[in-house]
Amino acid sequence: MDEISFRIFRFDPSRDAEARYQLYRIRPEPGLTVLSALVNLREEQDGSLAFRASCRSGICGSDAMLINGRARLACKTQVAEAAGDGTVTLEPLRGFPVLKDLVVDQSDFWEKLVRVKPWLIPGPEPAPERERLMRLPAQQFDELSRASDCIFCACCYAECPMEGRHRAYLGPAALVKAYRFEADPRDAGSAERRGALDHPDGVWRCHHVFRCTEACPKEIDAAWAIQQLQRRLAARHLRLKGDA
Amino acid sequence: MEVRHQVVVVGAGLAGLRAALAAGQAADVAVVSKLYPVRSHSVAAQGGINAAIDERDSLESHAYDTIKGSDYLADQDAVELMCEDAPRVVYEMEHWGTLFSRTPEGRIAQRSFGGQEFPRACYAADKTGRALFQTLFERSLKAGVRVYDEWVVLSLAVADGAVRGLVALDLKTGELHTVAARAVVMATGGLGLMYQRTTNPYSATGDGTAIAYRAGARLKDMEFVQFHPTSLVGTNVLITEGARGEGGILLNARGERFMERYAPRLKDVAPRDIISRAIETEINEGRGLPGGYVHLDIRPLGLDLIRHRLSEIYDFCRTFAGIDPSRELIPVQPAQHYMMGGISTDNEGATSLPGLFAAGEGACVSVHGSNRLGANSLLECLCFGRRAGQAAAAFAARAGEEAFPAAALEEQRERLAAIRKRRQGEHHGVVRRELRGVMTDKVGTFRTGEDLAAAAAELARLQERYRSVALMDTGAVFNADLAAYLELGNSLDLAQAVVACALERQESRGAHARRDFPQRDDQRWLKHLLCRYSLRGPVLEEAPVRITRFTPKERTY
Amino acid sequence: MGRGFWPWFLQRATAVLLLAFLGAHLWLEHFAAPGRVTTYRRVAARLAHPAFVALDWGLLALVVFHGLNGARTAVLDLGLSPAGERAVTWLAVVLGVGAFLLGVDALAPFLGMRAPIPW
Repeated sequence: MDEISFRIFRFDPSRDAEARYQLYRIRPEPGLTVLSALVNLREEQDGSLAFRASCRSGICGSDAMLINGRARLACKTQVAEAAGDGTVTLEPLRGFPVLKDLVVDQSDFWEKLVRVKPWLIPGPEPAPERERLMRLPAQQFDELSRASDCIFCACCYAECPMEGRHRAYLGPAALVKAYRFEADPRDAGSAERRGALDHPDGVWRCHHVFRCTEACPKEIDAAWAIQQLQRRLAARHLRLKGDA
Repeated sequence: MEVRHQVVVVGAGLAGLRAALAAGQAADVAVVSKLYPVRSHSVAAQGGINAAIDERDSLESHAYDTIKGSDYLADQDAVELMCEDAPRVVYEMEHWGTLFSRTPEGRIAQRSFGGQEFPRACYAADKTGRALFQTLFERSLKAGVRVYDEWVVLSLAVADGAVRGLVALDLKTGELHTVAARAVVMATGGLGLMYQRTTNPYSATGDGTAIAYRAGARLKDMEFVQFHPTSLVGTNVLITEGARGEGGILLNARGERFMERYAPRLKDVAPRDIISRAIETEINEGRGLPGGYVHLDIRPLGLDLIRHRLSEIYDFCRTFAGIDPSRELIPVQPAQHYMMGGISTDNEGATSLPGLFAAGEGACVSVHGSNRLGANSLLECLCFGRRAGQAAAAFAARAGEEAFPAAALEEQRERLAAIRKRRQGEHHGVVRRELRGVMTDKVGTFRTGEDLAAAAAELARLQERYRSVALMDTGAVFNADLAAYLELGNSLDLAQAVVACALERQESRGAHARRDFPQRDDQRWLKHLLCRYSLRGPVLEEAPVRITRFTPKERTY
Repeated sequence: MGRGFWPWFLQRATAVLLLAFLGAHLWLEHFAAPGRVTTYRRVAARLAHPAFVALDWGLLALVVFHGLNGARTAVLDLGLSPAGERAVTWLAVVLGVGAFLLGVDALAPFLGMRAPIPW
């Protein structure tokens, strides 16, 4: 492929009155990811470009950004694939205050995470000397394992239309984290988490638009996990027996 | 801003958070980290964490495998201590919520790992680091551990020969802050970015190690750099040893299972140094694939096992190499992966500098000696992170409240002002690229005195150029250009330490393979090299290896 | 707790009940007696029976609730202030009660008539 254009959102609050887009030309090699291209850009063309990056393999969740309007990880996106018409547009994640260029302030995201008490709350029985036995049907263990895959990249928040309108909505990642513990047979913290979850800005705000599921780079079915929480809470309200 | 805590931990990875949680039991503690905790590279650890928890396994066997794997350079009392602590570590993490993979009976599952006589790596699919780290992160949220994230530490403040705290740059605002502390725990992880081919992240620049080094702490075992045999060709993303632990095999261009020749007994699960050298040898002797790599074959494991126990690998292969590992061969090559050396500590994490403690990859106890066994580093972080945190809190309880030396802040203020003022000069990105090239070409799997001397000379020139490089960004808010410049300074200082030690050690042991000295030489070299910072370059000293009950003998697998 | 649950749950419950009612309605009007023509007299006569009026009032209540709660949810999704949300909810309650009373009033006169159900 010939040269392609990177059209990048630029904003430095200490210098710029308003945001602008800057064009860069890059020569893509096979296998070049958007993140590698950005790193090259920063080393060769423009050291003032700000973005976050660390592991470059889709596990640390640092480099979520809007790539052609969709929230994705730069390290998991091939330039060749993103540059359909010869231009790749990069913007900071929607719905978060921009600190600089592609770097956003995620404090709100972390604050919401803490509200679901995202840690194991064991029951009253003392822990055994060794490990607790955990016998789950394979499918259930897989679901639990999948839900624990979240890397906190916040792609789901940028894509969720509810999150966009309701700043107070807990949002997909926090709810997935809650589900990860609610579904863990070692956890007995439902009552403690209920205040945050069973709330108009908790699970009930989700209207199943499924954008979170689509956006998740770890292929977590966030919308499904939220539905599981809704089911559990509904069963509690209706005093039904079952998995609640 | 000026803040004060009794104990400050630098780095929010597995060792750092564990230290903070332990110190928090007895002291007011805070964490300073250039990354938000979940972005640290502990989350990238894949394969497992060793612990002799099976009735058929034993602590002695774990200790022996570790010491043999270290090519007898590990300090044996430290290894025994770690292996004894391992079951407690694993059970504690399980009790805190880590989602380990399970056996059909519901117990923690274990798999084979390199250089071990028993399958003792407890795992969570191929995302063990993430599973353990998330648990610790969750505990830190629960405990309300204070984290100053995206603060880049610039220097330690030292007065009267003891640590008084540190100076940090707040990336989000560009402000300088002082953090006064009675004790500081360095836990900033690896330094792999000095290599072109590395499995490490962009952030692995050994910051804490370099800062401690410049502040006067001794480094240890710096010549021992681990090359992981299987990184994905192209991006050098890690393909876990667990892939071979589960039954994957290495094939050369002729389709031969060459590890049979190099390690007839353990074959593809021999220790990493041996396999990396075997792969390099195959490639050098013309049995590699064009471009310098070999194949990892995990097809026989079947799609179901791959998708469940090697799910990340499955994803990596598809995302970064465009291949389906259940039907195709994975192209792999050795890449820098881990640093055995680091800030020299005792078994409690104390360094040669009073008030400074260290743990994790950036520290060196030494439990890995000249070659770390897979699945021992997560263990090291949790075992020694806790000990360092406890020791730091105990130290802080004894130490008095001292004034923060104002000069430490001024020095850093001037340093940053100077680099910001410089209008002309080459960009530091050029120097970084050359550094990474030199280290990969001349300080890799196989070394020679000639190459190392050339590397030392080249590094001295790069240091010279570093003094006159310029920034492209002189702004205040989130100046990543400035952060990268500071990191490069750390990489350069540590690279010089690596090369100086590698040049000094005239033998081959573990990961340090000298073509000009191919034999291990216990007579002369069964000892650690310590490294002290000076303006003229690294100054080397020697320290004995602590041997308890495992007498050094020839290492065969 | 529970705020958030009941609107969510009742929206789903009314949806299911509406399906049942609509099924019954379609069956009665079109399939119960093939070939029969629906006339005003026939309908009026049927509505004289209290059970049918109760059925229609029930159907009305479900439709009004489901429609207004759905509309309210859609409006709330736009992101309003807590006061705005309360206002929208009360507006929906007023509209809903009004529409329902209007329907009650419209059907009530039929209750007085006495005629055999014209099957």
